[in-house]
Amino acid sequence: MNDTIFGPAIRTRSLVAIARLQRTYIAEVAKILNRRPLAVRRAVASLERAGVIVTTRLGNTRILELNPRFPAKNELYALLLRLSDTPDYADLWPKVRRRPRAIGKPL
Amino acid sequence: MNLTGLSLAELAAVVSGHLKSHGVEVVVVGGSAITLHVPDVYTSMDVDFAATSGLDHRRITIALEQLGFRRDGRVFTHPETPYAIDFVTDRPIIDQRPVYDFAEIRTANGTVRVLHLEDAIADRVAAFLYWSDSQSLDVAERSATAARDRLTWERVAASLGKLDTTLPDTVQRMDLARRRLHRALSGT
Repeated sequence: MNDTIFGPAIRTRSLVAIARLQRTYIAEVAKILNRRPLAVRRAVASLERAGVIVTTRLGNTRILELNPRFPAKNELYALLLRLSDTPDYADLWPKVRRRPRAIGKPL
Repeated sequence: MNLTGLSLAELAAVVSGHLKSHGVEVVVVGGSAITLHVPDVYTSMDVDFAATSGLDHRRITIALEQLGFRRDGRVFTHPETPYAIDFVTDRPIIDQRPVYDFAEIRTANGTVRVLHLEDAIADRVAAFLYWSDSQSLDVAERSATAARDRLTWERVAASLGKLDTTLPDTVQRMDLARRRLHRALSGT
């Protein structure tokens, strides 16, 4: 139901994932959504053209995040975070580890 | 002493008692604090200690070597236990707030000081606020569910209230975390 409110499902789901993860990259979004990186890359390009997200290069990695200068960024973020916690998405996140792990500490 | 078969809590108690005899006072913090309170929810494979008497690495190393531990990178390991020992700080801190009040857990191998469960949950929520670590939020929620009979929303909310939510995005993530934890504690 929530999958197509921002266009095709891959576009909507990528946007929800980018919001939930805050700063992420294409391979991570693709892995979490279980989609091909190329499909995510197209969705990301479309979202960037719409001004909803921005991408920056860090080394060899392109970092994705919501555009902080998007006029309704805070409202959009609140909506996407809420969507990310609905049953359509909730199962995607519990295994996603983003907190730091010190060098030399076994996983 | 033989450490074979000890649970994480029992090992923490053995190490804590031995360090105390060397003048080193410790508190269990981080994910291992969750494991001590609700072992079925989350299994940490290391014991994170805060050395509240001060991080005296030399004294700690001598004490742990007497128990048969060896330094392995930044952690201490022992052939008889799968759990590693790490000393992460001197003063337990949740967010930017030092913690001075702790719980005690009794085991067959002694007593060990640990963060109160409410503070350990707040510590997991902090990881969600600042790093979007959904795994930590999941652990916090499952801990609240598992310990529903010994937690109150008021005390959990008080611990959460000490986290810094001055950034706009963290306010919204905190709203989500509070909703999830309140639901877990109310059983709805």
